[in-house]
Amino acid sequence: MTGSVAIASPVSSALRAARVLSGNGEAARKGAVDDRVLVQQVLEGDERAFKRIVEEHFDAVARTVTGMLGASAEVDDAVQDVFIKLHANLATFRGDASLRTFVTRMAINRSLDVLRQRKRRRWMQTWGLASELDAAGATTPATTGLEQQDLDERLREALETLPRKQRTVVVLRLIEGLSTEETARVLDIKYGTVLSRLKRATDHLREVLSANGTLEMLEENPT
Amino acid sequence: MKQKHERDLSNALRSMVERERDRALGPMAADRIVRAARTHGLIGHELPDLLVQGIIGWARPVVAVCLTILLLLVAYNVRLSTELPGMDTPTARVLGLPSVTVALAFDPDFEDH
Repeated sequence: MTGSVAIASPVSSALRAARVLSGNGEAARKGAVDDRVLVQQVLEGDERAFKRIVEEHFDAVARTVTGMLGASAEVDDAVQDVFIKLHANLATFRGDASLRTFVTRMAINRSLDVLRQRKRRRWMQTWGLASELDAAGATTPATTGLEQQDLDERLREALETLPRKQRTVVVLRLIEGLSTEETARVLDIKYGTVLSRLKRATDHLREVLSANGTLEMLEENPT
Repeated sequence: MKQKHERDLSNALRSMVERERDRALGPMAADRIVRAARTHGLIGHELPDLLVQGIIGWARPVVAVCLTILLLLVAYNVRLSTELPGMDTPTARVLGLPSVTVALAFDPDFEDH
């Protein structure tokens, strides 16, 4: 109880500050509500505030989880789990990092959990213990062109050859578009580590993609 | 040149993930998440409420089991004292007091001395 009060205290002051600003019309000029204020509103039971957080971060979480897992049936559940977990852990949000960093970290952790579960399932399948567990695996491709579909498959295959740590950096840096600094903050690693993992990952991707001719396809028809 | 390659790769990966995301996620996913949070009982409760609910939820079966054990112990003691009325304590024996059992204690005809 005492802990939650201690956490809520700076948030309450932020809320009070925003109310004062809003009274002066300054918050409206800023055009964005502070993460901490939004979090405080959710903690007070405001459903609309939570919906706003979901809408604001949904695309980023969905991209991150899909980047890690591919077009799998697990993505939908994983994205939902991230937001449910986010809601349950909002009281621990101190506002040191942005809410985006907070939620992206959760998305990465949830994706890694799913990858670990997949690995366990595959291991069980090799022993004939879970023959039908992967039935709900990949979703059926949409009606994109065959060439596009082929390109997507090659890119996904190349991405899946990367070790998890490197794949995480590629997803955050190249797909999600976070800066090196933001990526380091999300993964709680050093700036230089992000750079070295990204370098190794892109070198590996380039090697795999040039071996199967995909790199040439990309150069001819950049997306 | 290297930067261009990285940009091309980044664009290609991003487009691929966006197409995959559209396939993997059902319609109105954001609304479903809010509904799921409501179903989980997360929305509309403050943290202390959730803690209290959690503690009550955990304690309820423990309380029920403890009460059952307590009632069984009381029943066992009453039965034992009814069946063995002559078991006095050493003090009662020394003072020559009549046997007082749990059953007798609740007997309206029993007179204390």
